[in-house]
Amino acid sequence: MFAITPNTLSTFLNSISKYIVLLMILLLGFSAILIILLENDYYQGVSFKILFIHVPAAWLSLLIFSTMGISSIIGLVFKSPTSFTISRAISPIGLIMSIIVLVTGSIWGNLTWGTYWVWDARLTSMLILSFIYLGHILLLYSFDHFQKADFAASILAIIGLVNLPIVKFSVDWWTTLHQGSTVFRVGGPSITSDYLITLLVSFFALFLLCIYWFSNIFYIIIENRKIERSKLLNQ
Amino acid sequence: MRIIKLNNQIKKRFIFLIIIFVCFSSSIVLISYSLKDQIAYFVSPSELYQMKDLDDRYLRVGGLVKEGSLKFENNIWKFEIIDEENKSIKVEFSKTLPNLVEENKGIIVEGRILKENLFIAEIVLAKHDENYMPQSAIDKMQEDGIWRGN
Amino acid sequence: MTSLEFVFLSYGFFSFVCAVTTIIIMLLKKKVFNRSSAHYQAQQSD
Repeated sequence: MFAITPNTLSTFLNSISKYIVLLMILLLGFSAILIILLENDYYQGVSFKILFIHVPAAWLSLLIFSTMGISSIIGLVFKSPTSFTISRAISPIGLIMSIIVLVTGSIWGNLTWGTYWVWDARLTSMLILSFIYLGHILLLYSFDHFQKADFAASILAIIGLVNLPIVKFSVDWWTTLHQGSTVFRVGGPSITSDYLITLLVSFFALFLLCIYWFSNIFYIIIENRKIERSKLLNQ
Repeated sequence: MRIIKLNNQIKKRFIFLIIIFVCFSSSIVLISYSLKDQIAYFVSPSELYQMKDLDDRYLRVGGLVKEGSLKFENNIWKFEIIDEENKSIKVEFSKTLPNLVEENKGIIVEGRILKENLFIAEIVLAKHDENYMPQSAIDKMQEDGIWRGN
Repeated sequence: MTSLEFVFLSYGFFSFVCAVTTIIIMLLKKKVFNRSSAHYQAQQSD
């Protein structure tokens, strides 16, 4: 990450892009078949099938934020342009994932809890996470020079890292309407293996979709900068 | 492998970031610790009985619906909420219940205490747990005699 | 609405968001591609 320039990363991502797309389509189809074939939950019935978008999207929104925070730290400490560009390219994807989490979660909540939205700790901290994503994107595009924007947005991303353990452990620390963790919990997953396999397959499909988006956004940012630089040099 | 030289500039920036992070995280920890009771979404019946000045206070109580207590009489739902310490409270609710409210399953009620041990709910929410399994898995566990649930 | 319709609604929302994002990214990529080819052509003709 210190020796890699944005250009080499962009070329590398472009070279593996078609394999990622192929694998992603395979996994998406596979997970769709698995989700359709799965038996309903004994208690929640068919509405539990929202889990297979809600949970992968939630994991990804946390994973993307931690990636963003860590690459912001590396970018600020080592002045690495690649790290800054990674967090710039990744944050819209995180915003989309957190919006998917909130919308599918409130549809699920309407079906099971009987309400679209409550202000409990998990839901509120997730909403704050999506606002931090939004603020990060707004900060990135509110400066004339992208280096200044990267600096400001990175500080926000690092401060926002505090929110991650709150989102993850809010269901353990406080009483919430939201149920506890199913997979990453003390004492092993409380979910049968066929559900767990489907969940992991759909997570990897969504993960590859994010990688695909990321490589394209990264390419767009790099190419735009190249054109700008070349224009400046020609003047 | 390329060894990164930690020169003074890098060290300084790293320490600067750590100070920012520690300041913010400790402030968040302090805020959430002092607001612990406000952040909690509901109280259990045993916590409810320890609270003072309950007159007309709007609050949420959560627990399991006691087995054999869910009844529908005179257009009013009546049930009892029980917690792990076997303390329970009677609840009355006059609107439609969410689909997933069942005996021995989680529930949260929002409303006021009318008198000793009677809670008038204005909103009822079903709280499901984090266990997911198909009916066939339950049947199989019951056959094998390892089913511990309800 | 029945439960199944709500499940379809959430899957539909998910597919819609993913499709829109992919289309926007593709359009931006095409735009930047056109921009760079126009720019480098102009440079060569100078």
